[in-house]
Amino acid sequence: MRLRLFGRLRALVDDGDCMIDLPHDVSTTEAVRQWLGRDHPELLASTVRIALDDCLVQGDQPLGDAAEIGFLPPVSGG
Amino acid sequence: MIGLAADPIEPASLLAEFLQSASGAGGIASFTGIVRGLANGQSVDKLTIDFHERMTPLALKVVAAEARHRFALSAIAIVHRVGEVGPGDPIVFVAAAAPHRRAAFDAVDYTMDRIKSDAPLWKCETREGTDHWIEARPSDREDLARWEEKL
Repeated sequence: MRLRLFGRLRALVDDGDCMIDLPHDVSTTEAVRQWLGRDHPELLASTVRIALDDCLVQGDQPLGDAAEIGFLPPVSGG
Repeated sequence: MIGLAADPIEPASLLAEFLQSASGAGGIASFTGIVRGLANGQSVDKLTIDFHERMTPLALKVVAAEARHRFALSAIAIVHRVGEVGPGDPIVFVAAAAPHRRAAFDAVDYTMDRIKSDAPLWKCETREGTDHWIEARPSDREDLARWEEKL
């Protein structure tokens, strides 16, 4: 699965863009957050939203056959 | 004219182009955001704007469509810079064409509030050699809430 990190989160791994191999028991968005959060607690913040294949998710959602998971910190455009 | 620009934007040219596309409107309002040269008492070296290559353009299109519907606009433009932008350079251009001036002013104001709160864009300000990621301010949410109250 492709992992994308944006904004200040980019610096956590490989400029925010890499492939990850998930353990078999990590099958939902929040499970990915917890799994990555062990090494990168910045991802555990409730203000960091998760997108699956370009769609923001609400709550904990199954990964299904999604190819990409993104972690988006609070935005600051304009 | 809705999208991201990796190269410098020229508000005068964008406005001229917009005027051509908005013939028949009773009023046109526009806003140009500029990178400040001073922030927190320090001089700004540059601003680097991060984005999602698919989600961000889509979010701008959604904001534009909702502004167009809400204010009965005949045309709207949103162009937001990405990448590195220097002090004094334009970072965002928004224009709205409406039957009357109040709707045009409000539409531009609303669109900027929506961009600040909803579009996947992240600004990193380099001040005197040190990077600072800019976080949304509580006032940004308060600005957006003004429009929810008006529903």
